[in-house]
Amino acid sequence: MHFKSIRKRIITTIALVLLINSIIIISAIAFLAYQKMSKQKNSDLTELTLEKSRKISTYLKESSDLAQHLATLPEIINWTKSYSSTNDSITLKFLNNFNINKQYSALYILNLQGVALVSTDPTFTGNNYSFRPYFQKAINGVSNLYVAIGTTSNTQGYYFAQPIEQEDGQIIGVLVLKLTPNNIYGLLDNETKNNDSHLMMTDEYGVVVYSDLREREFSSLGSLKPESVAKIKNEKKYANLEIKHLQYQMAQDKLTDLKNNNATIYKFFDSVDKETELISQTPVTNYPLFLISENNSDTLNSDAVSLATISGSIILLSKLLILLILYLLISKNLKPLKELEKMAKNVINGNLEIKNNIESGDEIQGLGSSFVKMTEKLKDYYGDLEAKVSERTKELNANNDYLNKTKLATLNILDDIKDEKNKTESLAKDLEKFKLALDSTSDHVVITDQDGIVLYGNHAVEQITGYTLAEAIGKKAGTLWSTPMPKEYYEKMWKTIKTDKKTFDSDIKNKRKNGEIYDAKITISPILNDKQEVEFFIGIERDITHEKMVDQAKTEFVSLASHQLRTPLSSVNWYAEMLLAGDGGKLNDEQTNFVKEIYAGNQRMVELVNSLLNVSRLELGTFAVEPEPTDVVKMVEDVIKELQPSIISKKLKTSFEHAANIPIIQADPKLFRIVFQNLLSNAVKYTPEKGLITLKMKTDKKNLLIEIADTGYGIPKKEQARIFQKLFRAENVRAKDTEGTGLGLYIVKSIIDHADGEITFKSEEDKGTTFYLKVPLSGMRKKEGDKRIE
Amino acid sequence: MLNSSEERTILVVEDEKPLLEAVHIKLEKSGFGVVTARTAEQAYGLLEDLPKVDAIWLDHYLLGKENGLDLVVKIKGHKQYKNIPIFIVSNTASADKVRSYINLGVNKYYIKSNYRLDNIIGDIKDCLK
Repeated sequence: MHFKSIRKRIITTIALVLLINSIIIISAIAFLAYQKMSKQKNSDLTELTLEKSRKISTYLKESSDLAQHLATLPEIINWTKSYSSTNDSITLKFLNNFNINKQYSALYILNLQGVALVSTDPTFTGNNYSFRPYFQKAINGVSNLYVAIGTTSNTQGYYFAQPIEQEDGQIIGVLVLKLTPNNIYGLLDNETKNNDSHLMMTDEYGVVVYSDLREREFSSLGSLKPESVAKIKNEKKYANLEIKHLQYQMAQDKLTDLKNNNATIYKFFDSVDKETELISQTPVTNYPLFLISENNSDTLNSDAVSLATISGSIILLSKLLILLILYLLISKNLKPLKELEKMAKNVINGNLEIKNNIESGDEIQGLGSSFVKMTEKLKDYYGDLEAKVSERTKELNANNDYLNKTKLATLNILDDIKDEKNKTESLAKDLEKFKLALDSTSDHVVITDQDGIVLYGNHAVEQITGYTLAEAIGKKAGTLWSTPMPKEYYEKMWKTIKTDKKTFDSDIKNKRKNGEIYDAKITISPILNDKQEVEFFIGIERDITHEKMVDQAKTEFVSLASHQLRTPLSSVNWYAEMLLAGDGGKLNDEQTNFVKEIYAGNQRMVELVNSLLNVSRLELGTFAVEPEPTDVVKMVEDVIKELQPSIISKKLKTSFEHAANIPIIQADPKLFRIVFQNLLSNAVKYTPEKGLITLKMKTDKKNLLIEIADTGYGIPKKEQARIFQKLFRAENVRAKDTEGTGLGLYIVKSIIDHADGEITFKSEEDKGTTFYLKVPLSGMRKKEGDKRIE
Repeated sequence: MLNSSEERTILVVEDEKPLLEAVHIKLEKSGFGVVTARTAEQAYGLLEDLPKVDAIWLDHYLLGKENGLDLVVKIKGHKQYKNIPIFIVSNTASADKVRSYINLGVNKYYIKSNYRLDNIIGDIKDCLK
């Protein structure tokens, strides 16, 4: 990034300097070139004009010399002196000898009166040319050149007039050579084929006698003075041509000065050509003629510009080349710098493993080496620093983490506190209600710590035990009011609540403050924290003295009721038995039948009372379950045996299939017997004669499975749902048989439920019923109770 | 009616008169000598007065202050009487009472209404063979 700008800056600056420099140089070149060229042009132009002037002068001098030579020849002098028309042919021949090249349109001799005596152009002969200034000058002894349009030939001619003198110097005539202008034009034309420059030649008046632009001929440079116009007219110089004037008034004006000077050059704005022109004006030496060269000086500008452009371009190109070289040079020189920057960047990016790749062999390479050394030092230092920083960073991170966690926790706590505050407020209300509820409950409730030290007690504690809460709190629960129990009791209690973390139930005897003993049912439950550790115990004690009394009363009532009901039944039973046995004398058949009915009716009443007592005990929950090892197979066999009289009288078939491995199970034999008695007696009772009763017994992994099937009347479908209901009897069996209490299956179901078993059945009317029993092999749970089911 | 030296004497203790009568008649008809009492005290007195009692038919609830259990406790605590077979025939069937009687060593416990006289008497006969 930096190099580019350095390079750019240098290159831009240099380019700018070079550009300005180029502009100055080009301008200077253009200016100097212009100056030089202008000067050169001036001198060239002057030289050119002078050169032309010289050439023309030289050329004209030949004719002047010839005229002079001819005029001095004795033949011409003599011929003129002794003019006789008879000798004309010889003289003419003589003159013609000097015009071999026919460069002269005529050679002729005028007498003193100006009459052409002899002429190579015969049309001249005899004509009087005394009006011509060349004659007038020559007759006065001045040889001269005169340009005019011939009156006879009507063509332009250059008249060279030479006086002819005899030996004593007397002028006897004039020799005239009329030169055709073509050769002169040839001299002039030759080098003037150029649009930018034109050449004109004028006479002494300023009338153009030659121009490469022929239309200019016989016009004056500028406006002629009136005397000049008059003279030209008198001399018949240009026949009768009207002399117009051109735009070169300045040249016209300068003619007067030029007659005495060699040459002049000046700038002039050509109003017709609309350009600035360089005018070079010079007289033709010894002759009354002037050369005027006119050049477009604008071409000079463009020449100078093109010169400047070319040279400028060359300079520019060379400078561009310099720039390019410079650019490459800078780039090359910056390359190590770039490398240096790369190294620096590496260092910035944390890479301290750098090498000096700079091989420029100059100060930059030195700088690179120093940089590498510096980096190595830095690396050493950095290594130390890094270790320290890493250590500190770890600490810092740990601190940060801790802080973040703390912050988070604090925020959570704050949130929680807010929530908790709300919760606490509502909890406090709830707790107040709860406390009120606890205080108004009749159960004695204490909360203890894990060691059993009382933390809280409700109002009932005071009421039941007679001790105040102040006395109870801080002491071990129960020390004030419980009566000593065996060591095993406490071991069991602590194991249950502290080790097993389960609820402990027990009936114990407590002692009030006044010494009164009372029965209490206690429940102690551990309260666990999140880690499943015991934090508190809640002990609930109920004074069951009254309950026990009520229970006792109930028990006594049932006992009494059974006693009182059974006593008359026993009476009827036994006397009927004795009557039938003939103990009261022999009865006739009719009497026997009647007493049998009484006996049977009484038997049913006994059964009903027994069943009702069982039901009341089951419902009161006061019956005891006393499991003992029970051989269920034998029990079934016994029951079948008991039922044998009925089976035989009804001609029923029975079969009992059982697996060989039926174990002895823990069960209350009385309860189990009731189950089998009921189910089997039902089967016998409700199966018509010659029917079949099948009993099957087997086990699965956990249960004893028993099937009792009959081919009896069955249970009507619509009544199947009610079959286990108390006192319910199915319609079909009520119609057939008046026996039955409607309590048997109810009792069976209650017992099986108490044994954690299941009883189900399938039945079809008039086809039979099958009961399915499932009893856990683990046996029945022992249950304390006052009554036994009979 | 047999009344020989081979005759066995049964002490029947029952508060309910009609039942006492029925048992009395049936036992006599079955060949037993019968003495009856309606209270425990009477029964114990009879035990002391009579030269021998071969078996005791005992109800639980009796007239008087003491019940059958009290009587059994006394009898079983008496070295002379403790081996006399006792048959409890009662309409009271609470588990604890039954257990108490069995624990005291009575021969059998019958629920009065559930048994025929000839059943119980058959058992007594078997016992005294």
